[in-house]
Amino acid sequence: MKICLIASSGGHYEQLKIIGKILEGSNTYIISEETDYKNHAQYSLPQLNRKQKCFIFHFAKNIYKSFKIFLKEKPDIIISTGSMIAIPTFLIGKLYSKKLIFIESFAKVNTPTKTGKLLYPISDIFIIQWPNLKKSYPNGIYLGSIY
Amino acid sequence: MAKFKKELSERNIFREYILIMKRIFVTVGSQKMPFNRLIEYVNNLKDDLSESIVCFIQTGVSNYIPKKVEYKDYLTFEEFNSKMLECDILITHGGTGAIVKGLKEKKRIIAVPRLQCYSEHVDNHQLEIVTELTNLGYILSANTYKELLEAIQKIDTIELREFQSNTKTYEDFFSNYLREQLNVQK
Repeated sequence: MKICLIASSGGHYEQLKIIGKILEGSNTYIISEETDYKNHAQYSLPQLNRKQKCFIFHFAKNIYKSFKIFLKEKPDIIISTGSMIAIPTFLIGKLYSKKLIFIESFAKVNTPTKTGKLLYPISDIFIIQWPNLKKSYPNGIYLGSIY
Repeated sequence: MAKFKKELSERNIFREYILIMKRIFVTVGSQKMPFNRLIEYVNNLKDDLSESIVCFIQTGVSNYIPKKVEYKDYLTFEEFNSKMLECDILITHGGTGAIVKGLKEKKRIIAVPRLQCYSEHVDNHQLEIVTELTNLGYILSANTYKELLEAIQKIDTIELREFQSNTKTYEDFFSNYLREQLNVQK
């Protein structure tokens, strides 16, 4: 069983690393964002930021690269801690009937992320870290802090 | 002999002085947006605090140059850990990574969330988590210079809640989930 772990940089990646540690010993690979500093991801996708110019262009590039990685690695399960960088991989995963697990960020106490709202309907498991988010994600599983 | 005794006693006083100085580590995170406001606040603290403080600021992409304190734009993983371990007080932007690291090291933390209105972040999500952690009693927080000054003055006398890790809940969850998936595959 192969597991894809995907997250953008910063807090999202910190939270993904915790999942990575939990799954140590399993067959996993990590996709993250291109940043100035080194991370331990096997693959890097260009940064996505909804305020950037030519967002559509960067998003299209992300889709292409995500698809290439997906076809090469053939994951069974895809786990993400956000954010937008995971959208194409999740959509591709859904197309191929893979298991999708999304973990909403620790930073979101009362309001959902845009990525979370988008991927909630297609996720097999949606994990929330704060109880107030049950309002936004009624089928979300409340596990508390990932830290 | 008298001269030697005098030098020794001066050195002891200096050592005592260093020991009672409060070490403050300030981090603004690795975002591509500056956080000059926090750096300026910390730079001004030295004049307004009656006690002695030693500050170090990790400044990121901020371009405000603090003339009264030591700073560096980025720290290596080891340097960051070292500063975190050494400090008495952590003043941090509202990024969860830095706050949680500080909580795990049992540091006294003052969080200053990056605010959208000052172009410090794309939105106010840092305010959300900082407010919640403050309400729960884990940290103090500040949005203005006055609030930061007050927080530093009272932080040693306030009882802050100790952070307990909840990662085991996720370990158990994923362990069960993977076992289920493997059984389904058979």
